[in-house]
Amino acid sequence: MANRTDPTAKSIHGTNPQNLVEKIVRSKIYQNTYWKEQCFGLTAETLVDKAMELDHLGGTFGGNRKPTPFLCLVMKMLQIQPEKEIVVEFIKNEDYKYVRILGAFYLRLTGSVTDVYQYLEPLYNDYRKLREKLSDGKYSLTHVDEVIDQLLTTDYSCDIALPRIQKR
Amino acid sequence: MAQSGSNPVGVDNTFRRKFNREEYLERAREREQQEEEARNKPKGKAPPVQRKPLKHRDYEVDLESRLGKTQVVTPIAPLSQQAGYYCSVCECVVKDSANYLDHINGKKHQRALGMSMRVERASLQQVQDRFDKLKKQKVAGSFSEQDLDDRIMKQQQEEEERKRQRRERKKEKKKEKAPEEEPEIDPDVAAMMGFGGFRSSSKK
Repeated sequence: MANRTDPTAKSIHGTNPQNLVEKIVRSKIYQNTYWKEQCFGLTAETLVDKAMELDHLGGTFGGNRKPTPFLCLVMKMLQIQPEKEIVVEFIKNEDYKYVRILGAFYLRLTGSVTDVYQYLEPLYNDYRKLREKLSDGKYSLTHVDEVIDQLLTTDYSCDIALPRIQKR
Repeated sequence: MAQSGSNPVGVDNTFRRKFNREEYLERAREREQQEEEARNKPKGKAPPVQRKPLKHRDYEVDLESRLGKTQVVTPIAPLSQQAGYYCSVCECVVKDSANYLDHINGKKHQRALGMSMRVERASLQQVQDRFDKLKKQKVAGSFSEQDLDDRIMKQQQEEEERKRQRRERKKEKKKEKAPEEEPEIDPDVAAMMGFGGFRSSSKK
């Protein structure tokens, strides 16, 4: 099936990485047109293209809880499980803020606690603006450091329950 | 014990099953030989087909080109002209866009294209190269003074070309019209009537 996890992928937090996204959101992603049309057969390399085209982040929105492209790409990363170096490359790149957030989000979901703090804390210095799609489909303004703070201090973001991490 | 005494000597008097050792030895040898042959021979099944790893579609899926169009559908029309999305690879018609996407992402379709459902793993180097490439593209596509001048020049040239073509077309039309108008209206009569041949003959 097209929605199968990469057979060589390691299990994360003791489960299939795709299970980090809860079942309902996952099925919404699988039936989304963007997922079927654009995300099919992506590798870590071609995922870069799609990530650069992102122009907002967010979870699901609207009456039937449509997932945003951002969420679809997070799901795709869980599916293909790129190496840690690649994720770090995503985070380190300066020019594309949404690619950076995508990498940070993925690392927060899958990385170890030390990695999460090591790579995400420097992003507190990034004050660029971001567009976030709220659950009613409207956009709101936020910033990279705000999103990073949300990732590090809360346990729920973009309709995904984040794994527990120790407090700093 | 008493029984054995009563039976004649040399006659099998046990109830145990007896085996013909020779025959079974022969069978065993035969079987061994067959197994040996089977091992040496290549397997009966065809060797597994090497399929290419799954590739990303680098084109947009055409879902909307026939949207809002009216079309007569007859049951005898070829499959490609029936209602729905036609897949030329698998020669089938799918009834709606969601199912069509499912179909072209599906195993059967990908197999027909000669691809397995496995995705190739990209290395760090590839990802870095991709980043560099896309950044360069972005820089090249950005706006500059030189660019603006070029674009204005191009626009002007196109405009002139269009004007010239329009003028030529007008001239040609005039030429076509001129010979048919002249013989119809006698200039003297026209002058007498008080108009100078402005009206076309169709007005009469």
